[in-house]
Amino acid sequence: MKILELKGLKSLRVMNVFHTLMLGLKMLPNYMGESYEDFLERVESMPPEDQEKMIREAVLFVELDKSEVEAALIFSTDSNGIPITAENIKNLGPVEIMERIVAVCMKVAEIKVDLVGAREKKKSQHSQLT
Amino acid sequence: MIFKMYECDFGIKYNGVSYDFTDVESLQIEDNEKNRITRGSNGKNVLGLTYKEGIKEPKVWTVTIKNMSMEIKALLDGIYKDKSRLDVFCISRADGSSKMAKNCILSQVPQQLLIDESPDSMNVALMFETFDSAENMKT
Repeated sequence: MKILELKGLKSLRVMNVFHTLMLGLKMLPNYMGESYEDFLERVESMPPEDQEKMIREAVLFVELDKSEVEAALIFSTDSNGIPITAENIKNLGPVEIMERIVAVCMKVAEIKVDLVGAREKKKSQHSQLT
Repeated sequence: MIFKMYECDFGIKYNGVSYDFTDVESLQIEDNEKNRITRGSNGKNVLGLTYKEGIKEPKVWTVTIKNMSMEIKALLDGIYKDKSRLDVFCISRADGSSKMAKNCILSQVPQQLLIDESPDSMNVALMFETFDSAENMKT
């Protein structure tokens, strides 16, 4: 299995998938006390093996809709190097689908997106102090 | 004999992976094998002698697939170039009967039918040859 470069319209959708999974995971009782920003920051600072464990847990518990699963799978390939689309998706079992989503999400996790801008962060720190 | 099918799903199986195409324009299967009878030039034998004709010629499957992705077209180009073997199958949407051809080769380079189509998807004509084909009638 090869993971393709995240490019094109579907790459934005696959970022949604990653954040849907993370938000879904954050809603579990274990992580409910944290804000999403803090939770995401903690996940991003984890070593890759721990990140993978978190993503795997999220894939198991969080329900994705069809378009989200398709968006994630299109960035992985089958044994002939063809991206997973409607033509070859039937060859995949649940474990293979899960492994592909995890692998694609690991790649998305490498992309750093600031949910809160530096100015807002400063403001929030300042308000917490006062 | 030429057999034509319009309302069908078509698929190929290569290297253990199946690719299903639902946007199939038409499928044609040409089978040149037939039993014939002949007799001597005096014309007196009413039964005649039977023989089989066309057994050296393969069955030819011709199919036009719409909206094929560029990656699958590239895979088929590679299959044609390497003369690799693949299995092909079609399933009738009308009655569920199916036909399968094993150990096929792509006899002609996959042809893109219109050159002004989008590079993301294209209509492609494929021609396969096989000696190993079977039919399953749905009961």
